[in-house]
Amino acid sequence: MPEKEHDIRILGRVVIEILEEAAFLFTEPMDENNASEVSSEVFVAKLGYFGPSKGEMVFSTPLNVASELAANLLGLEPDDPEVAGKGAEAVGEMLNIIGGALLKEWFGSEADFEMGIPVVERISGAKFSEEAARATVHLPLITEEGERIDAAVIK
Amino acid sequence: MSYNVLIVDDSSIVRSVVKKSIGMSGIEVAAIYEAGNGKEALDILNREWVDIVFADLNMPEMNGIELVEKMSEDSMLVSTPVVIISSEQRQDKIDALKARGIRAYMKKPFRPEGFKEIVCGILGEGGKGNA
Repeated sequence: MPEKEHDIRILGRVVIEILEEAAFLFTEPMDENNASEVSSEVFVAKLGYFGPSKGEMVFSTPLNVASELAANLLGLEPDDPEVAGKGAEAVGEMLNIIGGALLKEWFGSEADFEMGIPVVERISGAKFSEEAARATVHLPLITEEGERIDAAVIK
Repeated sequence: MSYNVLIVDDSSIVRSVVKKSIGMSGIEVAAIYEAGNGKEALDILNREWVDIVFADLNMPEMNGIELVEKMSEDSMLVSTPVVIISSEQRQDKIDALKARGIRAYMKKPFRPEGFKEIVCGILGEGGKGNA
């Protein structure tokens, strides 16, 4: 039986639900073959896990979407001073929440698994595309505003 | 009637959201302390009176489980209520924390509306604080 970590439908369902529930960000999957290029800089968060198997979860957004995430999480307008500089942290926290939900979906709440702490870096779109090409499962998503968000699992 | 609250999370965003949720719960707050990890939290707990602690689990330096264990070993801190707010969904960890005496566990993402019931249940509406 294929590992659940390889199931792009589980990844998609969890990421889309968490983005809606936690950050009021509505997304849908893009066709990876027709997905727009990652042209701008992104914040990419990575979160290692181990349990019945091990790997790394990845969540990435353009910088402006990261700011929107921060604003939505904080319940503030995007231009509120308190939002400034919080984009990277927002992407990391979103992956933290997504990670907990994904591990439960993959392994069940009774399994022995551990999750690390997200590490976030800011990289170019080109560099992200290179890294994404190595993912075991990769799901590009699109927001209502046409912005691309990426979720992936690397094993 | 006012309470001292300690919020422990390595994310300043989460600490802000918890602060707002506490405000919405109607509990009168005298002071809100913030810590980015369990070690910072213990430093605050050792020098300030705290009526309730809200803590994450996965944090650098000292995680939430280690913080709860340290508090349970300290006669001055053992009765301080702790509410865990975490993305952790492993049932044995949640059960172990409850066995250690945490008062509640809230899964992220949490609804601010859910705070009122939990906070009031622990501190009591109109109850006396220590500040």
